[in-house]
Amino acid sequence: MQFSDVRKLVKLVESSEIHELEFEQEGSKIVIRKADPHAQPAPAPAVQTIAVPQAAPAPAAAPAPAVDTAAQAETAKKADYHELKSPMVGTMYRAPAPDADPYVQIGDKVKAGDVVCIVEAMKLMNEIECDVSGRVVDILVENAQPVEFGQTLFLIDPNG
Amino acid sequence: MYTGMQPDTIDPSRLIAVLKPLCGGVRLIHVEETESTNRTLMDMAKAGAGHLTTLVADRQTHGRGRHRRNWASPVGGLYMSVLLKLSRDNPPVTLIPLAVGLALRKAITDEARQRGGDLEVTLKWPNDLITENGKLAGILCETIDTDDEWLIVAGIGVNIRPLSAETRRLVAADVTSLLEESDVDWTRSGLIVAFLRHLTEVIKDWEDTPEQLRREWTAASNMMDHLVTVKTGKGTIEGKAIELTEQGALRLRTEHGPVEINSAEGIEVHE
Repeated sequence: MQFSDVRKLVKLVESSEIHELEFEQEGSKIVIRKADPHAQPAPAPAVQTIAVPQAAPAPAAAPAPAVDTAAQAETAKKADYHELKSPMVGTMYRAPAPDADPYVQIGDKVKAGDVVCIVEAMKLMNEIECDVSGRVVDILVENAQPVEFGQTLFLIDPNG
Repeated sequence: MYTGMQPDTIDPSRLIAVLKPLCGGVRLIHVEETESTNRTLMDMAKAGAGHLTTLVADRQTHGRGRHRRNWASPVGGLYMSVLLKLSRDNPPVTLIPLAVGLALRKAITDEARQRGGDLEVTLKWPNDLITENGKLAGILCETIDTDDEWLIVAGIGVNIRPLSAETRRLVAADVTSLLEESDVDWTRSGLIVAFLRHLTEVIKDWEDTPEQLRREWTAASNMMDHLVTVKTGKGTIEGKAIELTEQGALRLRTEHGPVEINSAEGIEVHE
């Protein structure tokens, strides 16, 4: 993939309502994620390019185009976290009922198999189970907000 | 037939014999009581139950609606859940709740006609069955996804005879029942067979011709071109219902532009 192609993808994400885009081609994977609007201002989306070695287990230090230092530090930190993604389009609910406590809060310990939220679409209720054990370090979607297929909902620190 | 307080007896082996040629692989389990047919069947699904495994209960101790709302489940109603195991290489799975509503509507109107009655039932998005007197039946679909397929438990609750005054007070919404709407000899057995037959057909439509399924749903609904008020987790939206999206969401035209609804606390359809 050419650098100009990466730039086009970044522009596409910037000008759309897409929060995150994953693109995989010929062993390379690019993740473009918009900065959290609630976090400190970051005008450009954070871009991370990760080589996906087929045989070598060691993570390759691939060139990371268009990344400022702060974003790079942030993505390096986030790279250690497990991303729990939505399996379908819908609306995310953090509690089983409107007047109930949320399933989990930031800082909570979770086990693989614990229900952490519900994604609902057309009254199809999908209780999302955490697929790793660890600690919830961030919840990226507010209660009752729409989510897209593949959108990251939680960051889990498996070593937390 | 409903004589006194007792509904008809369910004989799974007799119903299976009728259903086998229509819905291959169907398995029917009947219990007197369970907490929730959805919850029990989901546990069975996780333990390896097959496609079209069906659980019917005479009563549920904790019948559930959306967001754990209580679903009144006294003896006399039809409470059943069906397990669907569907390949991920299919049209959007979010159309399934609408397909289940369509199948139940067909089952009820077929049964009414066969027994000499006539019953006008409409669908309210995404899958409530209503008449002009209130809600007749509700559906709750729950899912977990695996690597290669969706496991969906489609639960239905049908009010066959009038709910008691006490239950009506608890429900706090307009409700009705099959017997109030059409005084024929409804049986749970007849409804189970008709529902499973139509469910098998609509699932095939979903796989082969999802756009046809959406058209059929739209024709069976009373919503399109009507003003609706939708209560969501974030507030209230008003607009004119225009169409179903490919995913099965309800598209509204509002004064701020088009809006797609995929989750709602309640919907009011205006004249």
